[in-house]
Amino acid sequence: MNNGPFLFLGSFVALLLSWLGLIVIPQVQLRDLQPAKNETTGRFYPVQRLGLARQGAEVYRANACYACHSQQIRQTGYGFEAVIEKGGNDPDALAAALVRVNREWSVDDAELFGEGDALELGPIDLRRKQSIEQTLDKAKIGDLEAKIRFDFIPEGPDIQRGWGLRASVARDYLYEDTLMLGSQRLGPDLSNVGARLPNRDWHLLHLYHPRATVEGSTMPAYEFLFEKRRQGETPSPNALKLEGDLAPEPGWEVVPTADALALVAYLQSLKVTEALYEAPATVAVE
Amino acid sequence: MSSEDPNPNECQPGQPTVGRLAVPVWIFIVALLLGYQGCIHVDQVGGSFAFRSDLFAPYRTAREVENIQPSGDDGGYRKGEAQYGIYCAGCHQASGMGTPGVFPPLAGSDWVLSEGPNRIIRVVLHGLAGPVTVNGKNYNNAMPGLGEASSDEQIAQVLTYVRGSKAWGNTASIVTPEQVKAVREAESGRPSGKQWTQAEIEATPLQ
Repeated sequence: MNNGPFLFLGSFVALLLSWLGLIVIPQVQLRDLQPAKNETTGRFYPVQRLGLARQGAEVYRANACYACHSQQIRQTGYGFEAVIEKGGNDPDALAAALVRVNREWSVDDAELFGEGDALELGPIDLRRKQSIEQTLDKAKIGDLEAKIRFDFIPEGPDIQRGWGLRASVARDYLYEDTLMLGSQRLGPDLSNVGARLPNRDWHLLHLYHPRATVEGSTMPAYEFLFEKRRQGETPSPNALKLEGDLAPEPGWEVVPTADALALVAYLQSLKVTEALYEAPATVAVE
Repeated sequence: MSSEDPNPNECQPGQPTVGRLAVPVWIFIVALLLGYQGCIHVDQVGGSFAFRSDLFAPYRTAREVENIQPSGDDGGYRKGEAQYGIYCAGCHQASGMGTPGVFPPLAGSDWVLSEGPNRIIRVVLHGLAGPVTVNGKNYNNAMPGLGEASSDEQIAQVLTYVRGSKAWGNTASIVTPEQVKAVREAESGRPSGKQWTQAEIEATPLQ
């Protein structure tokens, strides 16, 4: 029996389905994605990576940094934190209103809260937040010129580790050319490393000798991105400030190559510090 | 052929027979349960199959994303920014710097940042023509009044933006629709299209 046409049809349908699911549908969903404008600062996010940072992306790729570092923050949930934005003109009335929010407080407890304090009610979900808002409305705290603000707090293991503020979403990668998401985390996530560790010298030293900056780091040393050479008449401004065992012999210095500088510029450019509509977060305005 | 010949289609004694199903039933039940679980998962995290680019886990629905947005109580600032782009930026520029010698600036302008907004409400309502001094520099041009075409809310929003524009460094108080309404009523006798002059408007109260 000739099963050739069936085999062909079967593999054709399998390919067609995966093409639809992996290419066409995401394209339909995401083709109109634009950078978002921050209405407060007037800046757009994300922005194209330029100059040295752009070259650094190639160094990152060439050294397969993505083999051990991911660039994606996961978020598993969210909560709110109630903060007193304005204390108002009547602390007693505000304290009375706050006691209605949490009956475990006495008026004396509630009076301890002042302007700018978080109420620390624990994780507040959307429903609890709405009921607190109703309670406060009924207590007419608007008439006291007091205001309770609810800060939005994304939650998840990656966020707990301090790797990022919020979930990574498609818009974060708008300008990435062959995205280096990474699939393993032998090292920490790097999607926000430029904001977490802004210091250029720290990164250079870390690349040269990871154990010098992070105790017990399992990262290999990238010494080949640096050049050990005789000091000129004046020391090179880029030379690493090495101490102890790492310090080169007198008269010698360790300077980063162009690749190392580009890589660090790339790492510094990895920043996810903006909240987006689809991924809200409470972000301090610079 | 004698009738004693055995029927070839009949099973011989001791021969195994085929049951109705070759696969145990519990496998189907497990598969069904897994499929059911899968459907529930897709329903919970799949964003209702909406072809949207603004719906990601852990948020389930577009409504949920909308509900958790930071509250929009900004005194109309954002809406005002959009209005500014339509009506004002043509002359005063998106940067609020105006055009030197032609259109006066709004960013850092002593007119805009005055204690009360009542004079600039009048300017927006009826326009301003003739020589005017802004931040010590002289301008001579005409601005049309926008009071006929705009609601109190619109004027309040755009002035809230102009007075409080963070991008320009302006930090004056917001303007409420009630303030605009009060000025509009106070000037109800003024014929439409009659623009203010600097001398005239400086005779009106700031607050």
